[in-house]
Amino acid sequence: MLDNVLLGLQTAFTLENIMYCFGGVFLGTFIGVLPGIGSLAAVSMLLPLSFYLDPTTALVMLAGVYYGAEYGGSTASILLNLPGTPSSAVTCLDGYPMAMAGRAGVALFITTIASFVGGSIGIVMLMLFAPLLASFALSFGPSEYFALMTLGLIAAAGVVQGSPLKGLAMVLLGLLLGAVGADVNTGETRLTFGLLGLYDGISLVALAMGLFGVAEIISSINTHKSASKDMSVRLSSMMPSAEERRKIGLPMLRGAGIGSFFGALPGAGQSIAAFIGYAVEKRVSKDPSRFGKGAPEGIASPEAANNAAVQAAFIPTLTLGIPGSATMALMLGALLIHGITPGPGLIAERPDIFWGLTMSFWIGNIILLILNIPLIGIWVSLLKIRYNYLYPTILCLICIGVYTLNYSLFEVGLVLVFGALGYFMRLFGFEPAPVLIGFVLGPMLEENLRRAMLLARGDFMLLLERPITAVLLAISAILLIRIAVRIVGNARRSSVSG
Amino acid sequence: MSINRKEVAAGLLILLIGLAALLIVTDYNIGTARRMGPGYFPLIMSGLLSVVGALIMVAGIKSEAKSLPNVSWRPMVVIFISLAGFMLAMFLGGLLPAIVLTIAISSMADKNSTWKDVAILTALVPLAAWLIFNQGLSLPIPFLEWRF
Repeated sequence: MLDNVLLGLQTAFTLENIMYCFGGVFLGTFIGVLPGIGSLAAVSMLLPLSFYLDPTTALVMLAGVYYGAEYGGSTASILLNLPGTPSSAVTCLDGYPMAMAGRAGVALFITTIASFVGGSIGIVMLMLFAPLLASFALSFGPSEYFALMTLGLIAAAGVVQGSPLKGLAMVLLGLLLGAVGADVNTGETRLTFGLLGLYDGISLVALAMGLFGVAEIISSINTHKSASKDMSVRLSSMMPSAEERRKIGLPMLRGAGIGSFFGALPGAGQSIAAFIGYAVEKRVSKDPSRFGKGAPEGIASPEAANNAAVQAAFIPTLTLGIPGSATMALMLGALLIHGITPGPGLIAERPDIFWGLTMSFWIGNIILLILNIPLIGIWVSLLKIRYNYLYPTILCLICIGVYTLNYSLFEVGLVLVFGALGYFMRLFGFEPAPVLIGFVLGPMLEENLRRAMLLARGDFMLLLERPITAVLLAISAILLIRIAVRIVGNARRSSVSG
Repeated sequence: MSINRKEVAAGLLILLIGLAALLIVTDYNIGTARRMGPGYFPLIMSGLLSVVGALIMVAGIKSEAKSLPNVSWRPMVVIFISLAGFMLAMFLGGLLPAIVLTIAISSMADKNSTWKDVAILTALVPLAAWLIFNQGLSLPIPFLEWRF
């Protein structure tokens, strides 16, 4: 362990990696603060640029954007009652009332400290459990991977807001989109509509930028609001009182624990972690009525939870190759493009990547502490930028980013098509995140299913004779049954009331 | 019995995508469960997608009434035209005309945009893009290069 940590420090503490780490978390905070652009859009914009970097450096930067955005996300929640990232929506509940009561500085201070505590605990979990899980997963064959991916996909479908059927539809759509292009085993082209640009499959970046970037811009125009001119936060106003400091200690730790657990589950993600963190605090509180009126615990726990979840999300991605969230799916895609297949062998074969990345998280979290407390003024003034300045700029960046993938305008056309698809999906209440998870996992799911079935001589029941496969598929089946029960329950309730 | 039009339309959308995919993938070699051909996996997926789409429709028929969502046509159409404009201008003249055109068109989507805002953006964004992509990262993107 110590050797590995030293190796990691060695890798992380090169000037180049520190610079890219700083660049990543800076940009991440920037993106997180601005409502309407998530870390996903930011990571996909940077993905083409990362091809020019060493894989570790690329990952350090992209990961920095991801967890940096979680820090920045709470700023707009507190000051504008508008979440900067989906997972900081809970922070609005008590953060905004605190700002209304003139305690915005204190709220921003608490969220930053809670983010740091959550992030740190998440990193420790990653350091402890990733190697353990990896050594356990070394014995996995194709059937185990198939079962694990099935479980992850069903979980991803089940956590969407609204009908889980719609989540399932999105996962299946993602799996189909992932099948576009030449089939790896036979070379036969599938679902390409005769378009030459699709022979290598749909580009992940174009899909992500269309579904998230462009679709988000269309739905945000004319509904977006920015901060008033006179809004400012001074450093002197940020210090919490002794009573507030005492109140937030335990909630932060509880939040970090909840976040580490839910973050590591494939398909769950930060938003769920933050909501559960909030719900638990409300339940254990002696006076739950204070929640929603500016209770400091109500922002400390969810912020610790979503930042712990972000760090813990690297556990399944790096050790099993199964992304827990859409942004993680993108990160997985980045690794694959660099020719690195994340899986149980990664930690042993490329310890420099795993440990270097983990150690860069410490550097990044410390930089974020500095960026978000002494330099908070910068971010607050950022909220004053009007959206009509932001979205044309973002649109240009999306176009340039996609174009530079392989200098083809065909990809920009794909962004247009997926932008349209994404906008209509959103309009009809579909969440786009499971599409991306399905898209990245699709080719791997198919490949593992084919291999497993070949080994089992075409008999699906033989797969169930492998204990781990059987357990994983059983859990998947239970999840599906629970989803079915929920759907039937909803239908019955509404037909009684209607 | 009331009909949730939004849900029914949503299910129909998925059902149509599923059926379209089903129609295409039946042409591919299915193979056997032991030796799956290129059509096996997509066939199962598009079949399941169609079923899920139909289920969403059915669930929508037996639930509270809801009308179709409102489409913000203006932002949507304007943004799509601006993307097409980027493609055309990039092909004909390079990055500078592409950015200027994209900003000029896309700004029309927001009713709060003024000529002054557009002027500021068209001055700043190409400059920043030139500094970052052409100078900083020295990517081979033609900045200004007329092709007609």
